[in-house]
Amino acid sequence: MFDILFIGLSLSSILLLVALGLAVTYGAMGIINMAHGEMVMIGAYVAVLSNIWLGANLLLAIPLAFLVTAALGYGLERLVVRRLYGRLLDTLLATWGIAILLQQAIRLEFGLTFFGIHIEGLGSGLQNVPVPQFLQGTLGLFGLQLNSYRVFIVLVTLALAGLTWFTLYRTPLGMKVRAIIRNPQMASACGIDVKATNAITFALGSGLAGVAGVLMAGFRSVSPDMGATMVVDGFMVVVTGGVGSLLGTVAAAGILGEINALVAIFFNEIAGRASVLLVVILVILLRPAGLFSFKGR
Amino acid sequence: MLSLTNLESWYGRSRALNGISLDVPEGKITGIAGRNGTGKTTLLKTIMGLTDSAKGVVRLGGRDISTAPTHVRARAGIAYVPQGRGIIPDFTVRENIVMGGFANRAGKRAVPEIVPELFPYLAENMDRRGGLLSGGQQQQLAIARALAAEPDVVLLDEPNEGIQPSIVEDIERVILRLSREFGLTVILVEQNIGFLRRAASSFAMLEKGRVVEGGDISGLTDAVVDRHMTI
Repeated sequence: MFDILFIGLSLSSILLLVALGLAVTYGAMGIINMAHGEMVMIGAYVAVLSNIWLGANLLLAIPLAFLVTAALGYGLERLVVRRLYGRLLDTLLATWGIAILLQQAIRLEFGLTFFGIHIEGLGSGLQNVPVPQFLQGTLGLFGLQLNSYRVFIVLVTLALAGLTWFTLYRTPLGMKVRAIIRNPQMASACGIDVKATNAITFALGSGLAGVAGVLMAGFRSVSPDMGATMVVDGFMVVVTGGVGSLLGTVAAAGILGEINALVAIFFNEIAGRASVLLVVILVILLRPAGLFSFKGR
Repeated sequence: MLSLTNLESWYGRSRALNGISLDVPEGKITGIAGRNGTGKTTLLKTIMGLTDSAKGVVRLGGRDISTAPTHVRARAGIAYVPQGRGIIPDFTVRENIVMGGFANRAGKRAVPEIVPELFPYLAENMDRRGGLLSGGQQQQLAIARALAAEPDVVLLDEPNEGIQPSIVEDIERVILRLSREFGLTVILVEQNIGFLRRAASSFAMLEKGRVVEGGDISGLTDAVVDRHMTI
């Protein structure tokens, strides 16, 4: 039983990593960022490329992917998203377009395929990243044999969730972000540079997605379209937990991941997926504001 | 000194201010009066850069801030206490006050030392959530937040609206101290003519987004009030 719950926990962790970034950008900035899944995908490709070209293992790819996707997110905010604040549906369309562009950029190897140049690790095929030696095999814990890589995923997620919490609730930047969530006009009247803060927030959210991508690269194959389903999962977690609530996001990721694992093992993978969707639909019907939404005025 | 020249302001396509010029004397209280919908709140928002678009010139101490974004104006020394107070409900009292410090020119982000003396209730409830406070306490909190910026100018939008009489007196006393003791320039939007006469040194009466009467507070006679404020 505990090993099943543990598998659920590792599924939850991945969900949480994807959703953390979305919780920040969707909750704080009111942006539906459809390109968030592509940040996961690019994070995974950073792991692929740094393994092939730098000989770096997954651990080194984590900070690297964070930097790459954070920079990409920052550029995206400055170029496109910034002009679309307050226009929810337009952000959806625009970022969806960006998502497609990013997918094709990887598939066409940034256009180099047209010139007959092939970069190893890119292209439309599947890629794999080896898991470092010390993360293979199992780990004895409380008399259980646990897959080391899954333990690693859970630990990294815990660390990043903790870091996100600390940034949001214990730093001046976090105070700015939370003030902007509740009252952007008052925030700016208090001297907070809303645009600059939003750009940094978007970059951090994207960076978290990049890290999720690296971790995913360790247990599944990497492909240009892997991000598309991730963004849907991410939004399900955020909406179930309650928009703007970090605690809600964590709880929802935990609940949905465990449900997925439990049903998948007792029945099958498809039933697991279906039951997750069912729970999400029920939550949206019965508690439209999510499980942990803060009280509105 | 804060001076406004030919200020116009829009919400979308509708114009709410039609060319307001006003010199706000330093260290004094300037009262803004007028019926509902004459542009009093819009005037404060326009000074803060919070309306959709604006024309005309806003100068603070000789510096033209007409095109500066809101946070730059705040950091130039203008603090805003809006109608409805703008308290963040899930921030604690302390967080709400400290938030004002992002506009502090010395970079101080702390609860001002004067707060316990001005607002003992706030000092005793620093960890209470802002949303749990009463209207009057929230008003005190909004003023404390403005003070955290150590500003030169404070914009107060109907600070006594919807507040129980016992706290109104407290707040009026604090507003008087802001200018007389701390030398702050105050622009006070207020419906209570009695308080305006006691507190302000000059006034501007608005109608349809224009200044129709103004000058020394002695000019705010019953006749002027009758003409522009009774319905």
